[in-house]
Amino acid sequence: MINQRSSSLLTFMVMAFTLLMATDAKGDEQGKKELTFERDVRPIFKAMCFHCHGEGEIRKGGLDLRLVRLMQQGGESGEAIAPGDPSKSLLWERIESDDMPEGEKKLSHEEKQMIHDWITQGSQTVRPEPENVEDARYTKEELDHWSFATLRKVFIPSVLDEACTNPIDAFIGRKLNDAGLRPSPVEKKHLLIRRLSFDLRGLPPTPEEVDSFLNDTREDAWDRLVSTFLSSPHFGERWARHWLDAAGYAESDGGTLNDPARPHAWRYRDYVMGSFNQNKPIDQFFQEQLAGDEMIQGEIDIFNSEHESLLTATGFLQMAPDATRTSNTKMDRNNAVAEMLKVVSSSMLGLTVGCAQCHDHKYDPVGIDDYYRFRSIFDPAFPLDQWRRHDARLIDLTQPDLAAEIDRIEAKAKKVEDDIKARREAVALDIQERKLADVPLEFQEVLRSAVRDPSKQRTEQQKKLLDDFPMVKPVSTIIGLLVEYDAPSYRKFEKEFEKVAAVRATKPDRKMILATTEQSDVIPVSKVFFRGNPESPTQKVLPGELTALRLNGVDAVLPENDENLPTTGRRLAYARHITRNTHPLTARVFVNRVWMHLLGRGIVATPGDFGLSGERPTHPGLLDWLAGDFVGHGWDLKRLVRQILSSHAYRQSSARREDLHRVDPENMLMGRANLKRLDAESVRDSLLVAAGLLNPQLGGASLPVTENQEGKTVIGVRKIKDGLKAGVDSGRGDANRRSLYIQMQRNKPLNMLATFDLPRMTPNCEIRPQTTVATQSLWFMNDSQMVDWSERMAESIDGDLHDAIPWLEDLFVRLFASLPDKSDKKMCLRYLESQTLQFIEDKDPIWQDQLSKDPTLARKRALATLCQTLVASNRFLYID
Amino acid sequence: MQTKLCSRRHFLASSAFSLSSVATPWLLQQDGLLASEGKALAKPIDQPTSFDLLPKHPPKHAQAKAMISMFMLGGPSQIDLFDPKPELYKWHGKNFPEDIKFDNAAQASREIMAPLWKFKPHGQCGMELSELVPHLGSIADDITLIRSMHTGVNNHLPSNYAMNTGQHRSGRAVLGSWLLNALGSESQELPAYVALTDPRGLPLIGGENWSNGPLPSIFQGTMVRPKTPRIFNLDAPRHLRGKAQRTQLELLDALNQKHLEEHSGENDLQARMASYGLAARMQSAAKEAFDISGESKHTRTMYGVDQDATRDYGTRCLIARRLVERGVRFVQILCNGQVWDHHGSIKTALPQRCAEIDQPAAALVKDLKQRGLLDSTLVHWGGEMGRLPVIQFREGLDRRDKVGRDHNTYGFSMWVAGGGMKRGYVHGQTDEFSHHAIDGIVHHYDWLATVLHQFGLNHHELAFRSGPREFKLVDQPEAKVVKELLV
Repeated sequence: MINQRSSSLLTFMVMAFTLLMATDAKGDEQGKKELTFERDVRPIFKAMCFHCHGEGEIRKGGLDLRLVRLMQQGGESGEAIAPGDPSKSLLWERIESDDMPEGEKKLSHEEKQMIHDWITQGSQTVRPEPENVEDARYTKEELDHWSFATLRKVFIPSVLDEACTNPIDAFIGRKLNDAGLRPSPVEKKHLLIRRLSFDLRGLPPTPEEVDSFLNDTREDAWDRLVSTFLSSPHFGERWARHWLDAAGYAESDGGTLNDPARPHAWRYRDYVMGSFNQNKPIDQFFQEQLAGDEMIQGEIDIFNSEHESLLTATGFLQMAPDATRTSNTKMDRNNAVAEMLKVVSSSMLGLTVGCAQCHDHKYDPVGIDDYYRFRSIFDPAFPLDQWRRHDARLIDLTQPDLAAEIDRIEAKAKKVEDDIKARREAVALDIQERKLADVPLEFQEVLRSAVRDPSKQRTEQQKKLLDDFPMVKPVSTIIGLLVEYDAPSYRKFEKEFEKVAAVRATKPDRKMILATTEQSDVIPVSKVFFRGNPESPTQKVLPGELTALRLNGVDAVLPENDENLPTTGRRLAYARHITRNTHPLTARVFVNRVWMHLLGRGIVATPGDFGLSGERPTHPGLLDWLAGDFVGHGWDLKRLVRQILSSHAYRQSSARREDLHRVDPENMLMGRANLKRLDAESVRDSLLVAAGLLNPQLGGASLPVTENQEGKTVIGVRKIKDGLKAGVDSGRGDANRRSLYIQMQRNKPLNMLATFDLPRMTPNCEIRPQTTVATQSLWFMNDSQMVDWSERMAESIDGDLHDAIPWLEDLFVRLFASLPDKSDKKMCLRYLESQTLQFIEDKDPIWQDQLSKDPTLARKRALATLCQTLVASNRFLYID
Repeated sequence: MQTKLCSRRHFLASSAFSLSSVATPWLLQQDGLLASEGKALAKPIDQPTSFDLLPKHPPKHAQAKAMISMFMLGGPSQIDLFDPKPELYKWHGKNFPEDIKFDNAAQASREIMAPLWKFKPHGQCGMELSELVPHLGSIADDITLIRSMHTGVNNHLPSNYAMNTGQHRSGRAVLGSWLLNALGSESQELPAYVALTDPRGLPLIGGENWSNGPLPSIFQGTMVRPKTPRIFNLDAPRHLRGKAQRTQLELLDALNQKHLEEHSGENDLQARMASYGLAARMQSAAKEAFDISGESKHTRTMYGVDQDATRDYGTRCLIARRLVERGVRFVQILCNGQVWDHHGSIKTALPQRCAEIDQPAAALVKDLKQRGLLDSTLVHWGGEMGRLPVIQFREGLDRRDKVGRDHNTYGFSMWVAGGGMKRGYVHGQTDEFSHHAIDGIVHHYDWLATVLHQFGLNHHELAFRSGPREFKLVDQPEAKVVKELLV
């Protein structure tokens, strides 16, 4: 088994800073090792003890564990350690007996041993300790963490293989070579086009595309194919989905049971898709999302599409769960901000800054004050005391002529509606009179005045009469119960109301943008919240870069209030700062994501955590080279994608090899491609393609979801019949649009997508989880949607058994991009034959009746079940 | 946390399930179709140990064969339910005299609040229990009440992880997954580990409650839907029922075998093939197991299935019994969110919660007992923490009816029954304020070690290697089996 942290593999030529991380000595035997405070003991104290013995203003028992010197000084109970002799060290005594850490989780056996040995060895430090204890807040070891160092030039390793022309292959080949391994051969062409098509478009290649690629013998056939797919609008759809995961895209508030919808959130989704299709430089893409509103010069102009795009981009900061429409306490607001910050820091910076909300980060050199400095960048847009809820943040950019059109249609609908209502009221009044007519004459007038008195102030006699003659009701009640009083009239009016709804449905939507803006004159004073509690503000902070980055020479000049802008300018300055070419995190983190989406695993396996508890890069030199190359060429996504796709590494076969498997079973060295399972959206979208149903319409409002009678969340709106829930209207053809356009209601994920691991956005998703569970199999076997799609698939085939080869070949190419071999054909045809016979023998009377009218039905049904089986197979569900 | 959850790699999932029980390899036998092409069935190269759910013998004698855990996320108030402290009445309204650790500093107070409900002895053993849990009182002679639980990590997430995974951080495998890993399942037709969630929502940390962590994903718990149908798509479409679907699955298996030959050793593909076998068998077995309509009126009434307050929890308890009866190894019944987290309004919220759960939980023990299943089924009822003896003000000083209690993980109570646990026994005690466990302290890892012991497993030895790392459910060297709890 390869230990990715072992240093022996990292021998290639990179700058010194990447080597630093490689000397992680955790694998060494402790006994032989010289233990030091900074490297070995302090990380334990930081996670377990500093909270009471060093952090903030608190020093329990007067003991400060941040420096060895201070331990020797000790606290109220005297010296804490006696270097060289654990038995005389009070600290060791308290730790060994589990007196300390108090209450909290105790230290593990290994941790105790480490502390014991360190004291025995004389309580060494790596270097002299600083004069001022505050300078010891972060150690050199923490600050030297690989991802905090600015991007610098990386040399491409020399390679032995002259055929290797791509720098990516040089990095990968070098490490494979060091491990005595070779890359795998290029994958078969038909599998490559399928891999590429899913990776770039999330859809299978068409038979025409497969055919033309297989017959393209030109040297640059691959590059041409890449170009074709990259210029497809489906590229934007596919890659938008990736970024939307990181951004935590959802169309509901989250955090509460009722989970109110955010009906305008989809515009942000379209913004992301459009940005990728236009190949907008990623630095600009990030700036717009963080500070699009601050990039608008002057007043917002509703005729300016640029303004619209910039405002829509800031929807990024509105994606996180925010319950304040349901429960709007200060704590709820604070939670919404905290969630937003988690999204920003993990998606763009690859850091878990959010862990420092209540106390210093337990692993990374990120202090609680760092957190609130970071947060203060966003405070003017998210002031806790002048909070705006989601609906109040919507900006109406509807243009005047469109607004007029909307008003005109509404007026028309209203007129028709008023007329129906008037007639309905007349009917109700008539019913009321008829019911009154059944009442003995002497009471009629009293009752009439009672039910017609809008004030409802009734005499005792009136009340009694109303009880005695319950059929006599006010007109409004009769209208409400019309279905019971007079069902035919009720249905007639409902039909008419449907026409009104149809008129209203022609109303264009108002252009409402869910945006992040600042209110003029609102500049909250940002403070550190003691233990994260917004009710306990302490010292004031100003916007600033994280200390760990500042100490690595990455400093940001962030204004408190930029006089040249109508806003504070904080987010804009910060956005520009993190998209500088030298920023250590932004480009590395983004490039790593792209790599992960194409190769199946990130160079850093924790794409949202580049901190000390995240995974180390398997190929640090490659990561830095890619990042440097990316920023050096204008943060050009498509160029980066092309760069990776042109490598041999991407085009390798995914078959496991015995020699690779023995040394590197997890494929850390990239000696082969990774087999990938289709993600939830790709499963559904490619089934729609196979069934010939996919509606390729790009963008627009999301398809609504609802629960059907069975409790499954499906596409459509609930139909109401006679006041009761009745079936689902799945919308004309819209239901067959790509999965990207299905409403992402947090508490109601589409059942089919949830079955195949659609993530829950709480607040975002860094890596798609992947399960293999029986419910997925049951879906393929039994779900009515699956059965329906299979039947549609079969309808598009001429399933003649006597001339089966052409259509079977066609079907295989459509589903797998490859031709069936001899045994495939034999298996399928035998199946068809045997299953057809079984269906002929099916004695169900309705079926037999249908069969007697059309004897080919049995074969058609068998064919449909063949299609169902083929798409349920691993060849369909996995990308080789 | 989310990153951790999402990034958990699915790997090494394989299974000894094969399709053989649903599908004789019909197509493979025909004319020696595959053999004629000269290839043997996929032989994985240098495969790591394969994993399965077949039943396995534990190394030692096992008292328990199955476990039902009723997990009470949020922290039920031991002071008001299980741990009577007469001293507290004298202290009522006075300030707590010692150090106290709050979770919610903003609303903290030191003012002691005596138990809000009366206690009285139950059963021959005279176990003192609160008037809020009368049904529990009726089984006092069958249970062991532990009054000295301790995790020492003062918030829901870490303490929940501690109780279920042995570690206070996320990412580890839960107890149920470890049991499957060690013992497999007695049923190959039902999910071996079932999580029954509340219709009002998922528990805090959702799927992490039944996560396999670094163990192979075949040991992950299966969450069934909180309402019917508990599992979707259990019914084959009419035209596929019976032989038609079997024929289909045979073709599927043959196609997948061919594909696997090109990907020797790819465990994901094998796991996928096995999941069709499980799915096929589940169609009949799971439908039957989750359907309580055949239960007698007497049984349904006992569980409270016929009353609004207890209908849901009663149904889930009854399903749990049916699952265990059918060989399921581990069932956990979960609450939504952290519903026992009574920082405020404890006067109204706690009785409500007890009214939903007390009767069904007691019925489960009675029912298992009368069916002779209690000896082999370990029943657990408890949360990840208890509560403080002092008042927490939720709504300010003027709203005394809204008061609650803050977290306490240093001393709290839970009860267990069956599976070789003592009957009518109270274990351990807390200090006079019910704040700290002081006698017979049961740490979370002691509890987990004890559970493993009852299943015939040794907590020092139960381990799983993943690459260079070795994981254990209990890796605290000081962990010990709490022998005092055992018969």
